[in-house]
Amino acid sequence: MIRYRLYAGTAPGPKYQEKGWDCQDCSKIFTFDDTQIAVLADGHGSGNCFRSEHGARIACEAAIKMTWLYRVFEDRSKNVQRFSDSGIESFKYAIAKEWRLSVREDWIKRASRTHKLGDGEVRYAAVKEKFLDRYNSEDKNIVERYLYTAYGTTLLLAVSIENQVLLLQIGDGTCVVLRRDGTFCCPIPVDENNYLNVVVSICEEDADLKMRHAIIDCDEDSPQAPVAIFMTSDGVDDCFPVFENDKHLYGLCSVIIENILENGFEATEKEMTKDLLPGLTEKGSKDDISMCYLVTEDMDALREALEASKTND
Amino acid sequence: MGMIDRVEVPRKVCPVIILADKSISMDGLPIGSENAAIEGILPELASMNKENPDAFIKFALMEFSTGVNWKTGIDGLVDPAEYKWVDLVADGATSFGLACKELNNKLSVSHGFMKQASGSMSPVIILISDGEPTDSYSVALAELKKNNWFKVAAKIAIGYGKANDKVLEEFTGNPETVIHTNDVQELKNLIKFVAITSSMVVSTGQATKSNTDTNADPDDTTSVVADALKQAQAALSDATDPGEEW
Repeated sequence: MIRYRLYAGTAPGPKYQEKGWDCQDCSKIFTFDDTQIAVLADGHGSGNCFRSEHGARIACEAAIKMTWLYRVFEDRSKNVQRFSDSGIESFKYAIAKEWRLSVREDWIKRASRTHKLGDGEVRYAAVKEKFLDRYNSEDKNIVERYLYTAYGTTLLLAVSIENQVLLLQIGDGTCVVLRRDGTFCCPIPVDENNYLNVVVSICEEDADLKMRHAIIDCDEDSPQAPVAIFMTSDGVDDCFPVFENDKHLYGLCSVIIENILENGFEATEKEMTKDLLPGLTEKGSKDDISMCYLVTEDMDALREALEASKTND
Repeated sequence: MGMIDRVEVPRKVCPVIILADKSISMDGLPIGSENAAIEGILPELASMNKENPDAFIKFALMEFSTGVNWKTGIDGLVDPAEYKWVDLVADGATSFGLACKELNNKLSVSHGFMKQASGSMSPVIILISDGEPTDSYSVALAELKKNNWFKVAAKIAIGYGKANDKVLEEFTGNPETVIHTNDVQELKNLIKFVAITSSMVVSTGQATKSNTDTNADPDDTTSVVADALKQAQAALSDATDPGEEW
């Protein structure tokens, strides 16, 4: 089993800070037993999604909670932890359902605290008339149908178990994997419905069906085994040109790995949180940005993979 | 050296694409106005590039008549400061459908002009025409409208003389970004005004509804540019110099 070091970091984007909006990205890591989780969510910036920062937090929490509850989705029939196809489909459904339940609870809780929808919420002023009517409708069915839009977000999750890693995504952002043999790849299938600022969202009714996933085998001796997994929100992706965007991200990941090898995890993570992520958004996208990683604690394997990746270039 | 210093973050590219009708009906004063206006835009765009550290405007010009031709070359967008201007010469028909098809072909990351584009920067597309399409354009335009880059682009059309504004409106998807004139001097000023205003709006991120809002309506960039064009009417008046000859 590959033991990973986990990191999650988020930096607010200047373009939202200027408006006085809270950061709409959220990223978290969590570990139990042999399971390691990294997750990030990027709340939509649309004015109509005026509670997307809460939606992003709820999405991360739902993913962690369901991973905890869904340990049963691992197929233990051969005495080896593996993900099963049917289990993954149920897992997707469970995350989407848990997100909707928690969002609904949050909506009701906030409604009970204030006299009027949007009181004390800066982003409420940016909601368009059509959605104001929906959110304030006297018809409870209309409110029920649309309230989830207010919390809209993407989700990108990595779950590492004994012999496999599950990568799961809805919406944009990128997952980059460095294999032991030095090859970089983006294993999660692309969804063409994410383009520029239009993204598939967990707030859609059939969100579970729109989640994409990839499973990676982690046999330590396999050249395909992932030594590093990086997940980025679109705020990182948008720092670079669209063409061969993945190659720019590979470069960024290489810089981080080099730094880990030179200075260790702790110093690298401190620098990522303090300088790299804020610097990227300042120099690049101006958007909220998040990055998570799972990087092997085996420094020799990491060094060999990085050196091999340079040879591959 | 910190990690941030080792990561190259290039300036975002704002693509500005002009589709210029050079059919025979443009012969004489109209093509002269069109040439003078587009040539005059280039130093303005170059100047905007010097002033905006966040975005770099790159430019492509398609001339269309019986056929289509990328005056700026088929390899990609060009730096407006480096492009050597060559006048358009009026001839042929108005193959608008062919122009839509070729634009669709180039609004692509893998084999088109969008290679340098950045994920959050919408293109600006300006159509200039003076007549009815002489080919069957419906299928090509419908295909173009499915192109994601076209969807998010700020689309503006300038009609001159007998231009069919309904067709231009089909292209932009917004009647407020179709501007018509029958005056050849005004044509020149309009082209310049529209190109500069829309490029500025998009490259400086003022098209915030689209450029900063995830899950925004893709048509919003055009709406924002429409608002900016309306607000800048005063600027248009200032820019008009009836005594100016080309």
